[in-house]
Amino acid sequence: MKMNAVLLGALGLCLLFVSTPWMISCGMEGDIIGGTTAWPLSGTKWWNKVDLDQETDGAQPFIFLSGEGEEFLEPSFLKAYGSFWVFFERREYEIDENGKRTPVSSEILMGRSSDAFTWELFNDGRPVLEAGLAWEDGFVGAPTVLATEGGFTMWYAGGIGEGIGVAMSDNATDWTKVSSEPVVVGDQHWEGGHVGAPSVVYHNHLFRMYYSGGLTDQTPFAQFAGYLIGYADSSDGMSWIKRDTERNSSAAGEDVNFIFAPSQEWEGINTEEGITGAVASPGILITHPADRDVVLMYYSGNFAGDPAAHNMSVGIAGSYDYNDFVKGDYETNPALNEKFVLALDGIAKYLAYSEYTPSVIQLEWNQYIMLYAQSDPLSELTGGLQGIALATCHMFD
Amino acid sequence: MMRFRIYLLVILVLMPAAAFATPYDTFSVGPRAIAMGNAYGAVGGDSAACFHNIATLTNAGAFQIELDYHRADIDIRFNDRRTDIDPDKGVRIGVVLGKTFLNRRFRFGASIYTPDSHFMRFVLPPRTAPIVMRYNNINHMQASIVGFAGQVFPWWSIGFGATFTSDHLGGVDFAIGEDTAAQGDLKSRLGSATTPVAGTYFEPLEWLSLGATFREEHQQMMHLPNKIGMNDLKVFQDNGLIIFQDGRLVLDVYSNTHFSPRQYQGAIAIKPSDRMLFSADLTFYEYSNMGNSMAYSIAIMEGDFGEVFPCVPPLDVPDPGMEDTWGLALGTEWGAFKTDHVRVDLRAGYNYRPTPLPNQTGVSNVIDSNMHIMAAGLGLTLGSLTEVLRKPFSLDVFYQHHYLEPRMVHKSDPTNEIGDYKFTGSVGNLGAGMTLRF
Repeated sequence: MKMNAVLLGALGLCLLFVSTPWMISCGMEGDIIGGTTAWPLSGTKWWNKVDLDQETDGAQPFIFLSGEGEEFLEPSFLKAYGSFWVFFERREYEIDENGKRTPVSSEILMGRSSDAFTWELFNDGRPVLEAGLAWEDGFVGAPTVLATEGGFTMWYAGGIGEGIGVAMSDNATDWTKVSSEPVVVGDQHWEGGHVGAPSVVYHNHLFRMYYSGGLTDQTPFAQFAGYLIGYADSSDGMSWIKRDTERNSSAAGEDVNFIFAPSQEWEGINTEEGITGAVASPGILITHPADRDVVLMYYSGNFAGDPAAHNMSVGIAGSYDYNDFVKGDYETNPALNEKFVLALDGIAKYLAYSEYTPSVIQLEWNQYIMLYAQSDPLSELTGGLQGIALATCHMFD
Repeated sequence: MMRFRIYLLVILVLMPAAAFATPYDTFSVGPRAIAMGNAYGAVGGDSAACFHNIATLTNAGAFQIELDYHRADIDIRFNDRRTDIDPDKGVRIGVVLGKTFLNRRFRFGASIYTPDSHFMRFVLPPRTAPIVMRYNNINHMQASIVGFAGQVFPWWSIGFGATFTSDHLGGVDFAIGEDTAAQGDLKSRLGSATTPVAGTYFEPLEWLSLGATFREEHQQMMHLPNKIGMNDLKVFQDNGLIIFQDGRLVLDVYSNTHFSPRQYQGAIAIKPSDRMLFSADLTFYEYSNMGNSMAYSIAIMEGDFGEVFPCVPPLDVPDPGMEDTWGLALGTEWGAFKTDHVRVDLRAGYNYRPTPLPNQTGVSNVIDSNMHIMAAGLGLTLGSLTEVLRKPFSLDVFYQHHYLEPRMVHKSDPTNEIGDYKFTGSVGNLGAGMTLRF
């Protein structure tokens, strides 16, 4: 009797489990997916603006807002000596009765942060570097700063495409220009005498500079920053040798070409209408995710078309050899390209924000932070904000 | 307002499917079989035969019940950083029932594995997300194998059965609006996926056994038909300025989330003495049949959706390029101690499974590498314990270690969102079970 009970019980248990595929209903409690925490992330995708002012409608990613008649742009973002630093250009404009803006001067400001998200404008908002040399013609901007030998070294653009100069500082606030002349000028055919917006990295005992250049009459931004990107390297940061993907070298007296040009629609290229588009203001980040270096270039693409006249976005390209870059595909580019949705019958479906002049650091192995310039599209609704903004790249919140 | 409709076929940001459809493929089944390195196709004698070679069910007793539990802790690392892949743990119930007619044994067998937390799980992370095909998601799957075996002659058995796994169908249909609460429903239905298994088993000599097994390809498709409607969205309630006109998104998501290749297996077991057993299995995995298993969706966008979020052309879906592989399993069992009432067996085994996966240089990141499985175990069999358990009662424990060879993944595109990485992995699988014979 006892044995029969055991057998029946066991048999019942077996039948219960045999029938489970058909018996069970959905809704069993499951756990989280798991397996995501160590996913590598290269820093090319999953960029999102960070809303730093959640009390105001819309994403407000600004760390510094510019005032009327001025523009903040071309940030250089670095982590050094236990702090986060940003050096950026303040460009001043004259605005005529028709609303046309004409740049009249520029200078370099500096901000500092302990966590990369809350920032303080240093030096009470006074510039840390001003134009003074003849070749600068009242304009210094587009800084790129490295922490070097107990201090800082800055390469900056002077004039409107006149050249690239160098300054050094022990404390990031007091800067000394170490050359009365630019260390890089637009002496190659493609540059048309116009270079600017450098990004310098020091890697494998070599300074590597990516800069934009080329003379164009396209959008105001392109007239200032150029529309193509070139490359130069240097052992001391002062004497630069330009090189291109064909291994031409300025040291050998060869005509060196640009390394990076507009080719994607969002960069404004329109071959039918003869519009070249623009890529400019590169921000370089070298990563080493596994066993080789990856050079990432974040850059401004200038799309000058409907629905907004001023529509720039941030794009991404990468290279394994420092100067032969592959652009991200349409899934990746543009990486920052926010639209303000607005259904106006027969006119527009959206207005575009402008995101431009990016600079990126790798905060953690799976987190990247970008500082960039942003201007809002519709002043009536948004207050017409412009300034230095913040975005992050990470796969999951 | 012009209304338009855009038909879009995209391979959305969903991932390639994982490879193994059932936990049996990854961890094997049965404490004795696992401890013998999965070299069990010519051994059998318990419900684990349902997987290894269903014809060897004829080696089992007329009625036995097995209950075992395992826990596998999975240490997978990308660039030396450990992921948080869930441990795989669950209970397996096995049963063998049978009768002898005309001096021939006939057996019904069932082996049912049920994970601790859920009966099944589908994971649809981003398309490019790194997924370790043997361990992510797949093993969290209720799976059963049932079948019959019978002796044609005392030296020749055949068996047939089927693998069952849970499957899911369903989706959401709801509308959202600024002024009204979201309305809708979720339809979810549980189904099953079924594929056949078959085997044959020979005992040409008293000390020699031969087996052959066929396991059909097993694949599961998840289909989620989602419909999301949205009313006009206004920027300010007072002026009624509409920023989104009403629209609708129909998103049909399909994903081949689980795949197990067709397998042909040959096995041999040699028993030189009553206390010694050697076994070997050679398995051909037909991975080349594995088509592109990337999840994809068909999206129909109506209203302002399509204009504000412009459609993109279909994503390039690379062929995974899976290759057929051969796996080798070797096992041994030694009766270390034996009396009339007690027997202690020591077991050990090794299983090599080369990866079918080519280098992942493109957008997908299905991850795998050559795998070495080392196992050991101990079996304690007690005879005639009680009035009820007059037949031998067994307790078995095992430890199985998976070692995945380090593999470097280099991306051809430097803008790949995942980038280069080094993949390493090991898994410790500990379990125990008991067998009741009646």
